[in-house]
Amino acid sequence: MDDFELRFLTKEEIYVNQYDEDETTALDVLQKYCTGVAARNTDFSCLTGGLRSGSSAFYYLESNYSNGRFYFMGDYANYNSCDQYQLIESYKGHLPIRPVLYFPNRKVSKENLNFDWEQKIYWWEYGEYPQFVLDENNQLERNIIEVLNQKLCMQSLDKTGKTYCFYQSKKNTPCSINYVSEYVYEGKKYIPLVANGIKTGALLSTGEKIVDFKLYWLKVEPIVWLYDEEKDLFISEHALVSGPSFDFVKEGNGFEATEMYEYIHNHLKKDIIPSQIIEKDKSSVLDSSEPLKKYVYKNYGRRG
Amino acid sequence: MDEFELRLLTREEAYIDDEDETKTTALKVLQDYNAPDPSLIAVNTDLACLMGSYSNANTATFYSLQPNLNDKKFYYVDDGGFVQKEDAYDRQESVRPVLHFFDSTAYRKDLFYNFGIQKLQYGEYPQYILDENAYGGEIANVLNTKLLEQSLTKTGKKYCFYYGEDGKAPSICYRTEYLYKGKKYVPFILIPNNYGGASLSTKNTISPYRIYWLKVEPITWLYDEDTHLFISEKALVAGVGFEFVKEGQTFESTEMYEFLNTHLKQDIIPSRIVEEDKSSLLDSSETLKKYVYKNYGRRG
Repeated sequence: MDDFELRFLTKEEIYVNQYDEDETTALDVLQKYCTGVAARNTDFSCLTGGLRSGSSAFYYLESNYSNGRFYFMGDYANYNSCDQYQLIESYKGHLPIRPVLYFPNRKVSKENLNFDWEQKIYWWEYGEYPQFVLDENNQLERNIIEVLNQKLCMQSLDKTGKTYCFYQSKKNTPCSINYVSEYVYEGKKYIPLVANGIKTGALLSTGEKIVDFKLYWLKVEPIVWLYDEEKDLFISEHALVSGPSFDFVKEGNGFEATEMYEYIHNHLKKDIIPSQIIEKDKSSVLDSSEPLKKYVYKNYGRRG
Repeated sequence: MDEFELRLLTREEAYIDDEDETKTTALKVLQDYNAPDPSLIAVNTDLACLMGSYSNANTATFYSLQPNLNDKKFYYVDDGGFVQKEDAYDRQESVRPVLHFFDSTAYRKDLFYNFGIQKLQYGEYPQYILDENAYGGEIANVLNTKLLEQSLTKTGKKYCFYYGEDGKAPSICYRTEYLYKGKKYVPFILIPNNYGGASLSTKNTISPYRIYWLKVEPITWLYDEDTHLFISEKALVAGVGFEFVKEGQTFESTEMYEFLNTHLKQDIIPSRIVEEDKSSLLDSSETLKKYVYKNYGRRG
């Protein structure tokens, strides 16, 4: 699954004119989707610096990189004019990424997609990514948190071999590149993350504020993409991650020279490819002193 | 052969009569010890707070004395330094162990004077957390990052702790010891409602689901010349009760005895760090791994 490309939505692809429908150029699927062109932030996006929670996350749009001005999708909940996108300076690396996925060399068969009869849109699960935290207020998930914490403290969790990359940018400081390992427990994948200096005030899906130094466990879940038939594009339902800026990191003044391009193409594109879990040979399970180690993992074309 | 045993102070060893000195039976070292004042007070470590003590770290705590199991009376020293009695034990009371070497001359040469009291540093135990607001924050960040990658170096030692509800058999948990730059640390992550709400040495209250890094530090003991007993200067841990865990109705049958003489007794023995052969360091891709560790007579 490496024949795809990722990009941002353009201004035109999210433009809705409430007063003159003829002026609206937003993608058909976004016009039909329940939250319109607005996207919800995942918890991972909040924990990597995303500004908003709920269904009105800001997110980046394709921009004119050469003049150093960048567009982002505004607060759609308060939207009451045509000016739904605004300008942002390049160094502000706090907005989420809502990727658009497309296959340059093939058309996806609709037979493989799911159809939402209520909204009359196609959607698809493709790839996976850490998205929402295990909720300590849910007894089942709390039990998993306790086991994961215990096993982490003993360094006895099973790695899948996959690591996720995320950037942490703070105003006027160079961004730091972080990697976090993916673990598997009872066939499900998780990543641990310690909140560190996230001051955005965003609420997590649990309804709670981010607590500094707290250890969160994010569930690695399939990415849901909304399919636009007309343009043959898949738009991520959620804003997935935050952190990278549009600072130029190599020569040139196009998108290809930006930190964002590097992140999307060198990291995010690889990170959405699932690690593969292979059930351990049963005989070896019987010999194992630790019955919880049910699985072995193969690195599925990924960095170690 | 065992070198020492651990127990709690008895009522007599902790009894000070303010009105009639002739009735005082407390150990001489406890009568003389006045930092903090009054002399029977023991302060909590962060570990005792994390294991359920209600008292703040570095402040006077309630600590258990050896109980009278025949009449089911449990005794403790309160935060004012007075011996108190109750009908049931409380796991939130701290454990201040007494160490008794079978050879009374053992470690005499290692005694040192501090404010007029003879003390000994013997063994080590996780005691205080790295302060994330001070220099310790940088180390805590590195340890967090490495723990999340499961790439920390284990010493091979595990610490055993008890917790649970009053009047019920204890639950047992183990915590792994790690080594970073020659120093030893033990990570703790607590769940809500499993601790007493005390403030830590950083003055912050305990937060659930946060990684606390406890520094493993030498234990300081107060030496009583008359009895050759060593009394821990600090209340080291909490969470241990007095349920009978084997046949008999004596102190030796209780979980406290089991904790002291099966677990704590082993846990205070330091893991040994042996510097790695330098030639193998040259081959190592991870330069931080400067040490190899030997399990020093401990469980794996």
